[in-house]
Amino acid sequence: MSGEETSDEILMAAYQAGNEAAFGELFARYSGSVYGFLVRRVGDRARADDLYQEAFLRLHRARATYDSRRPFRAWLFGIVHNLATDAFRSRGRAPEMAADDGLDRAGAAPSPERVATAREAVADLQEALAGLAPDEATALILARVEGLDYEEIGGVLGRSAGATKQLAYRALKRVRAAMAARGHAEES
Amino acid sequence: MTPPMECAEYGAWVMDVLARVADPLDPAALEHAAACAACRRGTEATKAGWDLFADVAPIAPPPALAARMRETVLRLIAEERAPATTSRRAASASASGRAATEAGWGATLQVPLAVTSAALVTAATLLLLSGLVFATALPRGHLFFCAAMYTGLLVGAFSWIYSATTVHGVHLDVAARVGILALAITLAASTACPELHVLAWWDRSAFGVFFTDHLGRGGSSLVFGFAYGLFPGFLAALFGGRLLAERPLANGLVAVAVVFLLATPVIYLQSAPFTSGVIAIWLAGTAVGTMCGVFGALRVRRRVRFAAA
Repeated sequence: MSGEETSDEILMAAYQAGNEAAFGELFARYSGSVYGFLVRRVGDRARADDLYQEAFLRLHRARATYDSRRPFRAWLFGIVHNLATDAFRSRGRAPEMAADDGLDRAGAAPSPERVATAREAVADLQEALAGLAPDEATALILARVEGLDYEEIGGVLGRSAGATKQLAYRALKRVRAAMAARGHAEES
Repeated sequence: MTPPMECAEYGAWVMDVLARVADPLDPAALEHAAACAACRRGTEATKAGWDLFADVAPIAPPPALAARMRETVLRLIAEERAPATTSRRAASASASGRAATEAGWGATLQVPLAVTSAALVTAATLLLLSGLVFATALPRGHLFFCAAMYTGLLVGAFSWIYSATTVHGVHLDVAARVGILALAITLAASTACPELHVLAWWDRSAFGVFFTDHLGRGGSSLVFGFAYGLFPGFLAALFGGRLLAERPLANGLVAVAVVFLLATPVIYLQSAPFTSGVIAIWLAGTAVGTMCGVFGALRVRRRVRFAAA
């Protein structure tokens, strides 16, 4: 074992001081999460590509404002969430939900039928996410896909952990209802 | 005895159970579920909704995009470290072995010292030329006044350049560099002008005649001022605007202010044959043109950086 890895907060402090290796490590840890979050929030790769670049530029510009007593992940996803929300607001419409499932990278080769079914389910899930309010979608993605706890997600959304759980609870029920309306079985 | 659970608390508990951080057999929650049919249904729907995400696979950025983004930020870090290193070296040489805290004091005093030195040089020049500034007929008074302003502004600008001052992410040194570049472009263009007064030359040119006919004298001066600020501001920020991408609004506005301040004496120097209204319009056009030029260049730099990275 190589021992405990350096915390995000310590890496961020080093990055604030101009340490390139610290940024490289943070980038390695969160580049994929940021990109995945953006694809799920905005629904198409081209816009996610632009926002991904803008997210890391914003992170770089705002790094002096980071307080190392705050969880880094909450701060980072706060930037990304605001970016995605601003993007929708500036375009004045809901996200376009092109199916983007990540199945190309999904482990052992399943049967073509299973892939087709899974693609359809993921596309419908994207549609269901698109029907949520921005905060609801962010809460669900961060909790269920990115693995943030509710304290952190509350920090992203500016809510208490309890209020964030209730938000996610309502959002899950709405997603489930939307999926049921699209014909996905209960046990899905 | 614990108080009965509310529906909102129950929902939060369900989320904790799904995240495996709460006891799924919490008596208060089970008691609430037994009494509340809506929450029982909600639990099933939530659990099913939670499971929908079970097969969601990670989505990685395209490797080329990720590599490009990483390199872009690493380059920004390296660029920002370069002037900071220069600044530290200068502080270190002047302090010859003093403690790092004293270098911090030096860095803190750089801006006030630069501004104070500029103000002192301006005042001294004005004093040397006293009596000639406010009571003398044009253009001699203009000339001395402009000489004083130039001296002070240039000293201030060069102080910033050589002290490589950056305050809260605002790169005053870069703004000074952009300003000096714009001034050089303006002076080169003014020198290349076949007439002493560039606005007089403009007024007699085909464009000047056209705009005067259609917009009047003021409109023509406004257009000229706009171009007068636009091109030097754009070119200077395009070639000298490194680091302005950080805090782009603040850095852009500071660069605009420096470019405009350095252009003002040139305009004032040429103001002798014109009315105050024309000069004011020229200045206004220059201010707007400078802003458009500098921010336009920053936008171009950003796009080119993305494309090239």
